[in-house]
Amino acid sequence: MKGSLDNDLKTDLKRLIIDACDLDAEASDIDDDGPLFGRGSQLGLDSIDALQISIAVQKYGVKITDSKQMRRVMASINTFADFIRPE
Amino acid sequence: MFIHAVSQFVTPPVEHPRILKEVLKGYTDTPFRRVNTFILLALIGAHRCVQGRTPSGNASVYLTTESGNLGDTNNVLDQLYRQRSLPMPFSFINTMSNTAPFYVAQSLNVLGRNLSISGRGLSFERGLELARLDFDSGSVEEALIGAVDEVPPEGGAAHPAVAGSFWIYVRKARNGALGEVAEVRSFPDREALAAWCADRPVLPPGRGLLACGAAVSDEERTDWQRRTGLSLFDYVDDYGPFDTVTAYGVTKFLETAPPASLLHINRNGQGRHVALILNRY
Amino acid sequence: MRNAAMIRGRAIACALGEDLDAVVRGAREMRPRVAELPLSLAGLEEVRPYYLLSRRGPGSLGAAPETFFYEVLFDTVARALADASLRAADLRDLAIFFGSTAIDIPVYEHAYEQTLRETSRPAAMVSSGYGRIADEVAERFGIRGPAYTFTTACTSSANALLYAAAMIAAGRIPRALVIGYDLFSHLGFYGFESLRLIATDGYRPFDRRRSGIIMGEGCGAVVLEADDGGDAGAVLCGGANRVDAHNVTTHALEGGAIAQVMRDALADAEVDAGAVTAIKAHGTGSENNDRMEGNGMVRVFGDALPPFTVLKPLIGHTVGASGVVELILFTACLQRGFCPPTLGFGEADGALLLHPVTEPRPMSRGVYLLNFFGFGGNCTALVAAVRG
Repeated sequence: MKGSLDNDLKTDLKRLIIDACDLDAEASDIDDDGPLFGRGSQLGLDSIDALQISIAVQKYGVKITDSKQMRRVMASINTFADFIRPE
Repeated sequence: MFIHAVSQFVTPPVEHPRILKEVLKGYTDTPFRRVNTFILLALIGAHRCVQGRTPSGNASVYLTTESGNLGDTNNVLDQLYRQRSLPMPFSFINTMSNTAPFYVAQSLNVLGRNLSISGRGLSFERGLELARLDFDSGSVEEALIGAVDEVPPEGGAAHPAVAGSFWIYVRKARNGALGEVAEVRSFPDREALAAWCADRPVLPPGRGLLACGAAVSDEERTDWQRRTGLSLFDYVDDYGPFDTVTAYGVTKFLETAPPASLLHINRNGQGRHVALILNRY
Repeated sequence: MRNAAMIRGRAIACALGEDLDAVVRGAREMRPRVAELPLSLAGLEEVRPYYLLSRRGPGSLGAAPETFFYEVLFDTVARALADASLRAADLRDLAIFFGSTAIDIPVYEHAYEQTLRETSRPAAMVSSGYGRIADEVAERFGIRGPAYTFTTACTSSANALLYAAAMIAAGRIPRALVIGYDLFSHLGFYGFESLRLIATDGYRPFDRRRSGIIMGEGCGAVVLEADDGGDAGAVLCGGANRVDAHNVTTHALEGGAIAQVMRDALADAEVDAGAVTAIKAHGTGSENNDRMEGNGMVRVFGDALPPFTVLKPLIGHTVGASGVVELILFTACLQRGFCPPTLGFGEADGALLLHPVTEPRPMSRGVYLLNFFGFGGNCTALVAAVRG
C-alpha cells in the first residue's frame, strides 16, 4: 500500500524525524500534510536536519542523492511516506 | 579582571543528555536541540553563572577543557566503524568542542571572542592566562570563563566519576565585584616558582590561603606550605581528582571562603607550574 | 598591535611538498596534487578528492598512524626551529601555541577500530587530552615554556597565531612556537561528507559553479619573535576574533560578523582599510562561506575591495592547520614576489560579482589581511606585513 496511506509507516517516520532532529515533540504533534521545512513549518528544521533525516532513512533502503530531491521528498510526511513506499 | 559571579555544577555521569536538558530548563526557556552532554554542561554552568544578569553583547567566552567532547566522538566512531555508515551530521559537528562556547554565546547573546582552550593538566589556568592577556591589552572588557569536562568512559578506579562545569563572569569594572583574578603566572619548573615565592611575601599575612592542584604531590604541597607560611585551603579531597577539579577549587574558594586571598599552585606532569592569586572581597 | 611579531623561522608540510621553495614553485606553476579516496567505509561507491601530504606513499593512510603522526609533526617543528636558529636557552624557554581541528583523532580512531576488530566490542576509549600533542612537542625538543592548545575548528591555528603574537606584543614572552596541524582522519573525511560539503567537481572558490570544499593535510610551524624593526621578512601586526551566532555550521549570509572581525583586526593593527594590499580569503568553496565572506569583504571595503585570493585549491582546506599553513604559504609567495592565484575560479557568482586573483600576480611588500572562519561561528582575521 502506498506510503501515505499507511499510518504505521507515517508514525515511524515522525518518530524518526523527532529522534534524528532531537525535537521536543510527539508523533501526534506532527501534521501529515504540513510542510516539514521552510515557511509554515511548525518544526523549525533546517538543511542540516534534512541531511540528518536523509541518513537516518537509509534504513528503509532509500537514498536521497541531492538537496533538490531532498526538498521534494521531504515536503510533508505524506510525500515522504510515498517516497519511501511508492506502492 | 574582577569577578562578578561564580557558578559550580558537578554531576555524576548521566544516562542521557535529556536529563541535563531538564536541568538547563531551570535556567533558561530557550529550547536546545541537537546538543550533547558536553554542550549541555557548558550551557548549564554558563547560564547559572549569569542568572539575573545581562552580560554585554560584546562579552567574550573562553571555554577551557582537558578532553573536549567525548560522547559524540565515540558515537561518530561507532557510526563509522561498527555501523559502517556516514556519521550523523550533528554528531560530527558536535565533536568539535568549540560548539559548546558557540551555544553559550548564542543563547546569552554575547558576541565577542569565542575560544576553546586546553593545556594538559592546566587547561583552566591557560584559559585564565589568555583572558588576562586580553583584558590587559584592552581587547576584552567582559567575559565568561568556564571549565567543562565530561566523565570519561569507565576504565577503572583511576577515572574520575564526576563531570564538571565551573564558570566565572569577569569584568573590567570593579563595582559590585565579589573578588578578582589578581595574578596568573607561569613557571617552567618548581624552582622558578619557589624563587618567585621567596622573592617577597606573596600574600598579605594572616589573610592568605594556599591551595594546590590535584597533580601536586603531598610532599610538594607540604613544601609549598612551609615556603609560603599559608594555611591550606583543601578542595581536591571533596570529590577526588577529576578533569575540571582546579576550576572546582577556585570557584569553591570564591563561593564559600570568607574574605581572603588564595594562592593556587598547580603543575602538570612535565613540571610546568602555574600560580594563581585570587582575592575574595 | 602593530608590527608585533616577526616570523623568525618556518616550515611546512602539505600536498605541494615540504621544501618551501618547491611549495612556492608549485603555487606559481599552479600544479596541485589531489588524490581520490573511496567512501568505502560507509559502504558508498563514490570517491572524493583529498590533498594528501606529498610524503605519503601508497598504503600510507592505513599504516602506523601514531608513528606517522608524530614523524610529520616533529620533522616540521625541527625544520622550523632550525630555520630560526635559536640559542639553546631561547629554545628551552619557548612558549608553544598549538591549533588543530582533529587533534589526535587520526591516532585515536585507529586504536578504536583495532579494538573493535580484535574484540568485537567498541572500545572504552580514554582520550589522552587535547593538550597532549603540544606536550609531546615540548618533551621532544626540551621546551619548558607554557603550552596552549586551541580547538576552534578551522580557526584553531589562526587563533594560536593571534594569541602568540598578542603575548609577544604585550612583552610577556620574547618568542613563541606556533603550530597548526591536521592530518587525514576517517572521522573528518566522512564527517564533512555527511554534511555534503565535499566538492565533486573541482575546487572553485567564489565561482558560480562551486560545489564545496576539498580537504587537505597540513602541518605548519613558525617561530615568532618580538619584531626587530628591520626591513625584511614578514610580521604579524594584529588580529581579532569574534563569534557569529547565526548558526553552528554557517555564518550569517550578509557577512556582518565577518565584516566586524576584519575591521577589528585592522583596528588592532592600526591599519586603514585603504592600506590593505590584498586579502587572503578563507574561501572554502562552500555555497555559504564564499557568499558570506564576499558580502563581508564588500561591507568593509565597498568599491575599493583590494585584490583577494584563496589558497585552498593549491593545498586543500587544511581545517585547523590552515592558520599557520596558509600564513606560511601566502607570505612565502609574497616574499618571492607574487600573490598566489585562486585555482579553479572561472565564473563569478552572480550574487557577488567578485573575481579573485587567478594568475600569479606581481606583489610583494605590503599589508595583508588573512581571513579564517570555522564551525561554531568562529571568525578570526590576522594582519600581516611583508617587508621584503
